[in-house]
Amino acid sequence: MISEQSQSSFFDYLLAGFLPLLSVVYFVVFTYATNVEILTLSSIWGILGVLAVIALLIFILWSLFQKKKPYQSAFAAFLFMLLFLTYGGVHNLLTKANFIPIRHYNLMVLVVIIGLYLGWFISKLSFDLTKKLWVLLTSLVGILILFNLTRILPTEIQKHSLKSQSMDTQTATVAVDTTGKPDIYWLIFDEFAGFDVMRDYFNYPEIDNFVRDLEDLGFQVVENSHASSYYTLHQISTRLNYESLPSDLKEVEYYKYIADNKVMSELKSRGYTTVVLDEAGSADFGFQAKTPVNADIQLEDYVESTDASSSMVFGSFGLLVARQTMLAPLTVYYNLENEGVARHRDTIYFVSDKLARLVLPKPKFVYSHLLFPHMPFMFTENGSYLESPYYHDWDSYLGQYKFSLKVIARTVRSILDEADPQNPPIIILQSDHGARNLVNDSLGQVGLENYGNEYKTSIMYAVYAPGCQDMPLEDGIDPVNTFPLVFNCLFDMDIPLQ
Amino acid sequence: MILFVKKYLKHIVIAIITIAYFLISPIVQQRLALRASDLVVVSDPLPPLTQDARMFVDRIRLINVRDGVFQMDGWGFVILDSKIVPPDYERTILLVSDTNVFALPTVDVQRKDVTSAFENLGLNLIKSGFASTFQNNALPKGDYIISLLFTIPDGTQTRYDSRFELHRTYNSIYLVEPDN
Repeated sequence: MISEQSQSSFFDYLLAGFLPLLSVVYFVVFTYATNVEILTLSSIWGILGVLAVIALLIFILWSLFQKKKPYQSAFAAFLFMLLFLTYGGVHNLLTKANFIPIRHYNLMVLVVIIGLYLGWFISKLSFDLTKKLWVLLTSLVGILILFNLTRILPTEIQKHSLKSQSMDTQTATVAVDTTGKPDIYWLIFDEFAGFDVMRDYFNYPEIDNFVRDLEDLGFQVVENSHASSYYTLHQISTRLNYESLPSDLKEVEYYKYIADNKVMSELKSRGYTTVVLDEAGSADFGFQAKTPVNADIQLEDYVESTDASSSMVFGSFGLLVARQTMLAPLTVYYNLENEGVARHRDTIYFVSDKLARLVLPKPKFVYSHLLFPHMPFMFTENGSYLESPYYHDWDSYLGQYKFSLKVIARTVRSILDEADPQNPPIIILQSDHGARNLVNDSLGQVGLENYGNEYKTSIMYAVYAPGCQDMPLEDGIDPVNTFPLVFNCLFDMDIPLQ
Repeated sequence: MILFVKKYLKHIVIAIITIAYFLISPIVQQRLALRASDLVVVSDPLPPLTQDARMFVDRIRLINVRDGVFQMDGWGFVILDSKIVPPDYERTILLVSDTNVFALPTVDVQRKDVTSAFENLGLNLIKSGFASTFQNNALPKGDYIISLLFTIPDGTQTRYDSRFELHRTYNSIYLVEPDN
């Protein structure tokens, strides 16, 4: 009899423990569902594991405190976890309300004591009532989890099928005559403001020295070119398909347009080797769920990171979740940015120093997309490193921009140094959009004052194409014409300009 | 009522202690942080104001998230017959509120732009920039006029009030330019 009781009790504990665990699962799944288009499923496991262990520990502690009351313990642990998981949000709300001084050390004590008292009240409830409440709450949380899974699943299936399609369509380079075909470099510098914005808003007339240097090298520099939006995915998919796409599509739609695009299909059919370095998909602060571009060579593996720490448990999604919970005060000690930033820095140096020297089959089309001078603003104008508080400070943008001019100049020179003078390459320098002055108010970020909307779409656009002197590059031209201009010249195509 | 209090005395005491801790601990922590910080409480009368000076505060920004350290950047100088310029005299930031005055040491910062903007004065203002750091939690709540105290080598002091104010609320700190 005693054995049966203890077995039944053990089973009850096992069952009861699901409630606090489900609360954690719901919280993580809900947050993931909200960001499903830009994240990968693998990002949830670290934080889910940490929170699940915490929920179990709290349940065990309550079980030790409330002996032989598994459902009361589970209910108490569930309520405590609710406070635990919403702590960060409550802290932010009260801090913003600004009625009383809010610090972690005073608010957390208050919340923990409220949690303990809630558990104590629960211990006064009868076994039957708490079991009924347990069933009700478990069902409710289960339904909420299922609801969020229905939000996640279609997108995950879509992402997965895009990846499979992308792999399936990787075809061998077609054997065609490629004699005399130049290499083509399309170098995107994300968030690089147009030259007019540098002169007019940032009061940096020295930008004309950079423009002059480009022209001296043989570049045609387009002034006053504006992107049709200031959304990276929209711009890249528009240009890679020379088609004005709607700017309000879902991220996964743009992933599709970028992964299998007209430009690279055309070039592959003409015997080009396609080479991609896409920080927009690979960087921590990019679109992690982005489908890899369907190319012959992905250069991410060529970048040697000098700080390849494997200690990352949370990642950016984990940190997003942790900041909403009682782990929030600890997140300032968790230096997520170190590894991501080191990788980003190494990718920038890779493009400026090594990209041109890679021995790759010719002719090649190299698409390099650096999230630079995009946030994080981590460089001064001389290339020394800023500390992380400056990473989102728009006052640091100009310094990083000036350093990006040096990176661009170095990249271009190394490409030209390595090039065959008898068959010079085509180099297209562009930004996807201009400096957007985006800030996160909740993090206290401050943007640039009196910054006009028209500046956000003003881009860099310069082309080195010695074999295409008649290319009709006019000031103000729409960048959707980037590749039609090149293809019309190189392959005598007749793609109408827009 | 008495019965209720007697019955739940333990919990009432816990509730009172918790609420008292919640409300009072930030005040205690602010005083401890003030003692440990670079902020100096000024109790002496302030030196006279001068109009022969120029000053500007560019910004304040959080430079250490973990410790809540802010940095104030700006420039300022006093126009003297002797034509001396920073760093020949000492500059200290004063934060002046109705009830408190705090002094903050500064470090010199190069400002070519200030030199060119005040070319007509004939002063070498290359080192007219300043930067100063302080811990957010050390500063009590209040609205502070940002002032610059100039200590000339002969020991005389004068001060210049900028048009900027530092507003320290319960949970935030920000720079205000009242004219703007």
